[in-house]
Amino acid sequence: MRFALLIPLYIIVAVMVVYTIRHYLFTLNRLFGRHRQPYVDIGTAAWPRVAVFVPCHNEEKVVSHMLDALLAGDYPPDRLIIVPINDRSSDGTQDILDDYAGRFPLQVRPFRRDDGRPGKAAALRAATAAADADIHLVFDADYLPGRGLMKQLVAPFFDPEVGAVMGRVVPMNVSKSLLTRLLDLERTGGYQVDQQARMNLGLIPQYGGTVGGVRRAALLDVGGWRDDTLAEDTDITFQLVLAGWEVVYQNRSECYEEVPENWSSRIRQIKRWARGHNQAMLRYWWPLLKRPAHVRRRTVVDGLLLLGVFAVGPLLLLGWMLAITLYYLGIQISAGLLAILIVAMYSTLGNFAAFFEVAAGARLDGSRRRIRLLPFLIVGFLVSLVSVSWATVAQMATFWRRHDQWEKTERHRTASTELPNGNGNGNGNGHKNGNGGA
Amino acid sequence: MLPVLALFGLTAAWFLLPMIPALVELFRPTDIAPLKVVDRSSGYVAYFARNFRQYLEKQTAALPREAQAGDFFGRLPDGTQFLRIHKTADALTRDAEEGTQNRLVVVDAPLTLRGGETFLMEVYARAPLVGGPGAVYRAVYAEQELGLGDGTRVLRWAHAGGRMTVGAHSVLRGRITSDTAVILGGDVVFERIGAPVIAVGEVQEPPPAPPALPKAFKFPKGARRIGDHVRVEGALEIPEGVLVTSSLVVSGRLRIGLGTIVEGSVKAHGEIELADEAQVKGAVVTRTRLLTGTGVWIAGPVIAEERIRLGKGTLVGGPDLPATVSAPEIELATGATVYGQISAPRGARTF
Repeated sequence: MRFALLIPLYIIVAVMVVYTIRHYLFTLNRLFGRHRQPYVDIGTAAWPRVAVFVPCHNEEKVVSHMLDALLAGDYPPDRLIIVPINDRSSDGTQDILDDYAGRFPLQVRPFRRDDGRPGKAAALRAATAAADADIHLVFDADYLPGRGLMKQLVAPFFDPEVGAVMGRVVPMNVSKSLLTRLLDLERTGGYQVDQQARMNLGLIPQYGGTVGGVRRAALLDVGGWRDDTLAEDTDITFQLVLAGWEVVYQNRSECYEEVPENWSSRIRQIKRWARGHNQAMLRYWWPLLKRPAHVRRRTVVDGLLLLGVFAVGPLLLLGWMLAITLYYLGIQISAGLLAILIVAMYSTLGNFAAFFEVAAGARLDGSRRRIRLLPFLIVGFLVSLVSVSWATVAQMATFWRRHDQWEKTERHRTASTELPNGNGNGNGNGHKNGNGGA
Repeated sequence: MLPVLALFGLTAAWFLLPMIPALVELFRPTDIAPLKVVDRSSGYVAYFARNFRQYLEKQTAALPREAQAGDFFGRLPDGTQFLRIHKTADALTRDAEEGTQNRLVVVDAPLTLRGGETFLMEVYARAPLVGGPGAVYRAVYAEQELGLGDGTRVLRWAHAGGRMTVGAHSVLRGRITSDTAVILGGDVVFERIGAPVIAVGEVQEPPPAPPALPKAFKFPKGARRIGDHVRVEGALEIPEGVLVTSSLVVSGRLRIGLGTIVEGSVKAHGEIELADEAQVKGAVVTRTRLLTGTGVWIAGPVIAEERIRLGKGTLVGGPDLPATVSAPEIELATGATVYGQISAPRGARTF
């Protein structure tokens, strides 16, 4: 009995320590390491043909802003087509898309889906055939790309090894609530520190499914978007890496997004991420561990840790339960081990490592005063811990069930929402119903 | 009981200490604006020049009629002192201390300067301007041709609507642009240049297609096709005079032989060397250094994470193929020509 409880606890402690080291390594790299951004200065080139996909499911509040922003971009119009994918919307999305297609027939070519498997991954898979452009960029409908973003995201594809590119997501509705401010801090840590450190260290920056793109040849090489996953972004990241492609991150390719403004929406979002990520973990941990010839050992280690990132929460809860159970059973564990668990717990999901990342990211962004909210992050982390654990347990209990529905984050934009300057508003292309209140 | 309560209270207060700034920021927010997304325009190489021109157009439009013609000393509506030169450069010496001009200078007629001047504010030339040797400019905007003499120093940016020529031993900080061409002398140091054509000395044209295609290169055993390229593990040396019909990724060092033609792009995790007259019809990317021989042609962008050395007569891009050369450090030999943009944050040098 003693060993049955102690051995899992030892393993959990070891896992926590590894993640702690990872957090610190990334943060120290960003603070003191070389900033690697080899493609950022490519401003002049013979730009390839690009298709921009915007999956939409009931996006009437936001889609016109998105299309305006894309049409106001500086990508050569004769090299660009925009493919909004309307996947069985029941609101006014199709009317808005039809209007844009009428006004910009050469550039806006909506793709409509009324049947087949629902969801973003399936929508992308179905629409891929509609465009034979060399590069496929993907944005969510609530995003607001800046004028030069498309060129920035396309530039890395001049490197023939690059299969996917990820840009940086920046919340625009920061001031709405404590949650939006905390999510802003989390994004800062996640992109400015985590993603860029992986780029610096030659590891696996994750393609995040939006503000990014894939090379069509790479997509076809790995069999296209998988439509049986909730996290097509994580899935394609690992498919590409295993097939010999490189995934790169561009910290300067920033794009505004709308983050959840209430906790219920946030909890649904993170549960979906957890389920999708866990699917990818189960699918790719073994192929990665087998290490194809072109994959370096450190890439394997980083990949496994990236795959397991949503398993940390449930593991931590399990560790707490084991420790308490041992205590009730009167089984002594060494104080040293307990201390390591406590330190690791704090360092992984608590006061030190992840917080250190966020603080370092905010410092690098030059937005130091928002760091004062750092203590509140514990609330966000605890909510995530419970939500992720809940989603994981529920997933294990129903792993045979197929998931066939749109998992969509609630949109909060209204007619009076002020959009950040220079990002798609005020360019004269506004849709007649594009006021967010349609 | 009281000491226990006091201790408890003290501990709680100590524990909650970090919450004080957090609560203050929560209820009296000081930092809630979205992060300023870096707009592409800030990376646009002629950004400052265009902004300056717009600024000056607004300011000069509001000037009274007597300030719109002839030599004139005065102030712009925002209070900036300016000097308009209409006929000769003599006006430059008025009130100037030892050749240092602290006014914004507007040049309205073709002008050739003696050299050695220091312009502490911007120079705006509506007519062709030829600078003398050893001049120092904060920034220059020339609507037409601009000549910078030997040993010129530009501190922030320079732009010419026409052709810009830069004398030997000059140092050009910031962004240097032209709507026509930038012709560099020897031993010129710079950071960023953008123009339809940038050349060290004489401008090169892309070579004509070879009369007969060379024989196809056979990839070594173990090479693997991945999507649209071939991947080779380890180092690779491609012999002279062959045709590579695919894009190529090499995990080690790559050497492309004399006169060999690659029809796609190439990337190496190690150093890349392109021998004389080699041609790459796509991009060249390396995680370390790129060295090119004489008369090499690269049609696409060139990216190195450490250093690039473009040999004599090396050509990047073409009249209808704009391209960027980007690396922390770049060296360009005489006759090197780039159609588009050169970016070297740690510095580029001609030789």
